[in-house]
Amino acid sequence: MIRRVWQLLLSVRTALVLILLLAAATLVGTLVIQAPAVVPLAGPDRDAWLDKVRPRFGVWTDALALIGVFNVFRTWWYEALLGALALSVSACSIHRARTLWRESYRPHLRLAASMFERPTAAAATTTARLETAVASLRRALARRGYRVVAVERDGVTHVYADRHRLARFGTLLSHLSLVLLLVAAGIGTQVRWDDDAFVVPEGSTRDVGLDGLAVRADSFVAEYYPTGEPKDYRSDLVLYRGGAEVGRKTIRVNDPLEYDGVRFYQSFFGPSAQMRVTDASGRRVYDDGVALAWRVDGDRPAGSLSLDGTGLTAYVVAPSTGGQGDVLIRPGEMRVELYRSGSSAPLASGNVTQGGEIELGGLRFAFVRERQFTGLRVARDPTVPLIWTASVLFVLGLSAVFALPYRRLWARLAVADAGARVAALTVGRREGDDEVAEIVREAATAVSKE
Amino acid sequence: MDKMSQYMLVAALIALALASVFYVWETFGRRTLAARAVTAGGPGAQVAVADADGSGKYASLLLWNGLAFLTLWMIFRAVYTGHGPFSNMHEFAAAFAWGIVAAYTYVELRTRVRAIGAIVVPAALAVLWYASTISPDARPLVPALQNNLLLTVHVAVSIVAYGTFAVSFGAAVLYLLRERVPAGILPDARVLDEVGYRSITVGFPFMALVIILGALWADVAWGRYWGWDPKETASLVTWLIYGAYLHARTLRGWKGDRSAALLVLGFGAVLFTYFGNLFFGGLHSYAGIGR
Ligand code: HEM
Repeated sequence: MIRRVWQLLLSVRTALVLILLLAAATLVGTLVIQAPAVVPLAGPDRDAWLDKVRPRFGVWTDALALIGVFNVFRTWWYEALLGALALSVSACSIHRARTLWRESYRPHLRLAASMFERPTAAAATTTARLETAVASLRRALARRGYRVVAVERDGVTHVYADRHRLARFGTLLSHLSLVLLLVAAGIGTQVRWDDDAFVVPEGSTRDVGLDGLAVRADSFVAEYYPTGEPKDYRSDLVLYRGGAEVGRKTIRVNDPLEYDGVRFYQSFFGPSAQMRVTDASGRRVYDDGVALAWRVDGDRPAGSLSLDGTGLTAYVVAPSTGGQGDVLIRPGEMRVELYRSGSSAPLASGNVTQGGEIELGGLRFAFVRERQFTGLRVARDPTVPLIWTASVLFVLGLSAVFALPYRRLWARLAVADAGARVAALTVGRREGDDEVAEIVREAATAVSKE
Repeated sequence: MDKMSQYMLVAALIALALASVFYVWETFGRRTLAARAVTAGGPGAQVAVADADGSGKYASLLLWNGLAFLTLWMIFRAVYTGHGPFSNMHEFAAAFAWGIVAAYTYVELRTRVRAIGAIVVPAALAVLWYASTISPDARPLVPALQNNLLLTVHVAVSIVAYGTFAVSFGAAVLYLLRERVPAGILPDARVLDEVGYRSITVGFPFMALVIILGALWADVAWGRYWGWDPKETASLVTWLIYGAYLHARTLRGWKGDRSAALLVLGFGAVLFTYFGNLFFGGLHSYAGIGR
């Protein structure tokens, strides 16, 4: 049983089938709309997403969802295909390593005489003596960069020659680096940490939730071309760990801040409101930016602030960004709604203009000024260097195999009636026969000229 | 510069259109008629197949002109926009045509076989024609595209890969056709197989590089090297098909016709990947296709 599985894994036919299956599955995942990664594979969010595509797929929707067509790259069968491929490549590599080693370092130096009678062999006779023929064959081979080994047995000289035998290990290298890549990527999905929506208002500091890191955004700038198309997004960031500054950088879309394997990428942005909240005794309950990173009814940017020690949460809502004005909240205003934490009925609400104040539920809310927030993606994936290593090795190995094609050649030189007979052949799937014939011809003519 | 580059594009279109006519005539016209005459045993027919009436030479000359015009187009365009041909579909498609013509010219000079041109040159013409139908408006680069070096290399490498894939496609089509046309018109099956394979030995590692550079860029710009974006998965499909071909070619029962069919399929995937921006949104639908 184990033998059978091993044999199956070794077969290039299996490799072909696995690769084609993977291509087909990947194609399905390319053609059919895929649920975003943030939508879980089950639960209400999933059902809501399915309802969105239901008009397009009709009665088939649930069946397609069941077999994973809407999340091909997260299904067990896609992972199983990748796993089988990794196993198969490993098995092949282990198996091929022995053959490669033997063929490179312990090649068969002699072939049976009958092999040289095959139609693929090339042969020529010359009037020169056997030793002269051997010498000129050696020259013809050496000129083409072959390594040559000659042995004599019973008056017959057997020549073995090969070229680029080291480059041949490139196949092994590229297959093994593919395994490394798959394994590293697999580990990566387990150990990577990331936050796609880490939001910091200008002038505020926020905890990352990783390694005691915190980020302060000093400013965010969005620049546009005169045509209105975006030109540059950048944030001035200061990074703290345990309260001490450990890094500082102006990040841009292609230029993240990196610290100790954690990277901060410029990702998105939006409005924020600088708010100051004081209670009846004059104590500051809140004095910080509020990122208006959500959208509520009518395309209004909104955010929340929890008020220390009061058990209350306030929502700050900006005027609608959807085209024709906002009747509820005018430009330059923010609406503040006060809730008891965990409840959905507002205690109080009202609008406040920039620089103004409003009293709600016994608290004074000052809208100091409007600013922006920067949206960052924070990621740490210790397997990334392995991915690049595997990629480089894959391309190097493959380039070696293809640019320096391996070739082997056997020749048999024997005394013939009027001189010597040179016969040679090559084996292998690549075309080399023309070259073999040429080498034989060259050896034979060089000899006869003497 | 903008005007100049437009003129070059038109000149290249004309050169490639004429070249296509000559290539197709050379293989499927003149040689086919001559081969028929051989079968019919007409006098001098043997000579007609071997001896060109010059149409082959004109085909090559026109092709080289097309390549020269396209190269000038790229230079003028780069001077005008200040970056490589990657900011919109117009630039993409014309650069793709350049890749096809360049790869094929190289192969023709190496092998002295013109028949493959009867498939590849019209294909290049079609791609260039498509490019000419899209607005060439040079729009400013959005922030994600403002990494010139990585992007230039990414696109340059993909042009090489896709150009060689187009050549292998041409060889494979002829390979599959070889029994349906009179003998003596097409090159030896061995030559066609060899050209198909050799092209892939260049294209496959280059395609791997395309994907790797794309991943590198995604990692720098978005903090993830692979996100199962449709453009990413489409290139993965392309790469896998050519990977399948490399294995199939060594297998009994898959050598020959089936391997050639994989090359045709692979080029279908190339076209899908290249023009995929038209179908799928996602991060790669950056600069749009103009009006
Ligand atoms: C996506 C996965 C794979 C890729 C990209 C890949 C890539 C390649 C490439 C480019 C070659 C040609 C190199 C050469 O001509 O020496 C090759 C050959 C080969 N591959 Fe793979 N391979 C993959 C999977 C596999 C698997 C799963 C197996 C084992 C079952 C396998 C076994 C082989 C063998 C034995 C050869 C040499 C064929 C021969 O020389 O006859 N490969 N592979």
